[in-house]
Amino acid sequence: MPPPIPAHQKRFTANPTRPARYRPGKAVPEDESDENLEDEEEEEVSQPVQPQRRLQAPPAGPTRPQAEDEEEEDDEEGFVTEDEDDADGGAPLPKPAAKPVAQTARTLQPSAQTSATPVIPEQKQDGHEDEDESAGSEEEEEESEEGSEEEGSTSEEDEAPQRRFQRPTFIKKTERKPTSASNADVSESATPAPEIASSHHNEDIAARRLREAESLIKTTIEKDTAARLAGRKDWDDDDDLPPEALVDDTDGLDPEAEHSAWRLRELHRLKRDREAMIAREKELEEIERRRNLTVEEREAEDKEYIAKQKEEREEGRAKSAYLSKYHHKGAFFMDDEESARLAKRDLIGAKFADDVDKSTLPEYMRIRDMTKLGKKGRTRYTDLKGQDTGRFGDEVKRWRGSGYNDRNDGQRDDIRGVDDRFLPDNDRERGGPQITFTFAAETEKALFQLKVSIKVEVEVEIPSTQV
Amino acid sequence: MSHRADASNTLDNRGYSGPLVRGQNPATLIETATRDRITDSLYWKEQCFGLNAATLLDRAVELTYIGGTYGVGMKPTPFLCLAFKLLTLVPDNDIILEYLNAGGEEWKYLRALAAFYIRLTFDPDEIYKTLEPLLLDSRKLRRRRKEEYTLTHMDEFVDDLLTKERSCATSLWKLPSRQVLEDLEKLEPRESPLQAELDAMDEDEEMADADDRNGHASENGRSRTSSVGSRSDSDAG
Repeated sequence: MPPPIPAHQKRFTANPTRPARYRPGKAVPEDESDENLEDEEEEEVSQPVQPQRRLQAPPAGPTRPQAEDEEEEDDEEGFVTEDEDDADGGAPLPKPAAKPVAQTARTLQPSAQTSATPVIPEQKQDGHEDEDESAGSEEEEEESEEGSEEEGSTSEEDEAPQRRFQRPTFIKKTERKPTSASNADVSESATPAPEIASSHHNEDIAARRLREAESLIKTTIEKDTAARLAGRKDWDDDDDLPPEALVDDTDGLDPEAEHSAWRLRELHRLKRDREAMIAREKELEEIERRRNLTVEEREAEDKEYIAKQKEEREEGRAKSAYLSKYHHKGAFFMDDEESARLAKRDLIGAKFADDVDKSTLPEYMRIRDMTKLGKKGRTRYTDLKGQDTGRFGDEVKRWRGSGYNDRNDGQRDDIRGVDDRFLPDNDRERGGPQITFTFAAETEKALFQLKVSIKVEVEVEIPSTQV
Repeated sequence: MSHRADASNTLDNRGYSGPLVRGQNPATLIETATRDRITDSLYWKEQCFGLNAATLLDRAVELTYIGGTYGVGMKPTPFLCLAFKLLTLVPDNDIILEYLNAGGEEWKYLRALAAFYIRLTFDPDEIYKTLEPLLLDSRKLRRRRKEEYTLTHMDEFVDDLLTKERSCATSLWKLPSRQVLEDLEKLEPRESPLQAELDAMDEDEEMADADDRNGHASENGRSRTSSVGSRSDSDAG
């Protein structure tokens, strides 16, 4: 009998099964791990909202457990926070900052309800505004003002530990009426009563702090405008440094020093003017002089000048290494001092300390640009001479009558690669026997005479007598 | 001359019908980008609205620094805004000269403002004639640069106006050099009060050189001391 196959594993492979695909309209299979994730996310959401909350009358701590009990109710409408649920007038309304957070908290719940939620806070707000005291609506405006001011109020610090994001809870329609009268009736437990008192108290603190912050803003603005009117602070300046503090422009602090400074400047100016004048006169002189020269002299001078320039340029330029990369100095930014100094640098002769002499490298690696090493299709193009397949200048050598030849030898065909045996006689190595013949014909009339001379080199070894 | 309080007709390029400077709308003396920054600035909108030549003085005496634009966003200084206001107003020449000379005695920033305006609008020989006396004025000025404040002097500022191509965020139109005007007989060569001293110094140097060539050491020493003495005399004087 084969070992029993586990129940859900209908496949015969050992590969892990892929996760089920999402198909719209079908219920998403929920695992236990997902639910755990949900709770964690909710808690995370509540944490970041906590510092964002400002000046809401914080519900007292004891209401939190009550809130968590009511979490699981899921009617379609009527999501509220505990604050609205329990506290009477002046209960803070969910702030705009809280709304997206509230929505993210709720996205974890079945999606059918999310469409209703944006409507609810507004309804609640409208409902509240009718009944709220003026303090409440004031608070709302002030809240929005305060909300825009992110820094500076120290009044929030005390309320931070108390303010926590209260999970919105659902209240049935019948129980929903949040009037002060009904609140007195809805006292199922002892907690609403102290809640009311504490929320009143908190509201007073909040309102007071708001007013303090407002007055602070007012004084700052007034100070600003006063400074601007007094001309100290500039019209668009954000910083408070008055120009006088930085640079002092009062005259007469040290008249002699100032006067001598002025004299120095004036003398510099005069000197500069004078030098400009001298330069101008010199140039006029030069023009006059050149006009008086003849054309040839002018050209001669020009050539001299150019040659001198070239020489200066060349001698300043160091000899570049074998197969080194050419770096151009650049044609822009020449007039700055810094740029001028940089332009005078010797780039051609510059050597990096670890540079390897390329002549020691194998032929394959002798490239100007090392990034191309090993790349497919590299052509090793260094100069035109290497591309030349002909014999460089050989034809010049071979031409008859050119002064290039050795006059003694007469013609020269292509004899270089040829073996020694096939060379014409004169081109064999000089060490070999050289034979020229001259014949004297005796019997016949000597039409011509050929001379024959035999030059034989004989190497004779005389064994040295050994003593 | 239809002068409108917010100078909207100067910036309208279609039909400017006010006084011209060198044949052009004077507002074009400042570049477009800078012009836009000026008209968008708070100072221009609040303080420069509806000014005339007289009320502009009130603003000008409150100036505490000169400068073009500063900061990353190229904010214009009040100095530049007032200069632009002058360009749109185009007051008469003698008003400007009053600003420069009489008003400038007491308020140096007013003088700097007038000098800037003169450099932009007057004719070359008049520029030289009016601005050169200011080279003797050595009062301190605070200059606001892009990132910081620096100290400069009135004569340095005027010298910059006369020699440089750009100042206070504006391209100054090309001024023919003094030499050219002297050749054209419109100007006389400049006489500086220090010229005499400079000449004296040069003479002493020449004497010293001559003695060197003769190779008389004692005479060298004597001439040197004498030249030093003459310099100190002129310093005391």
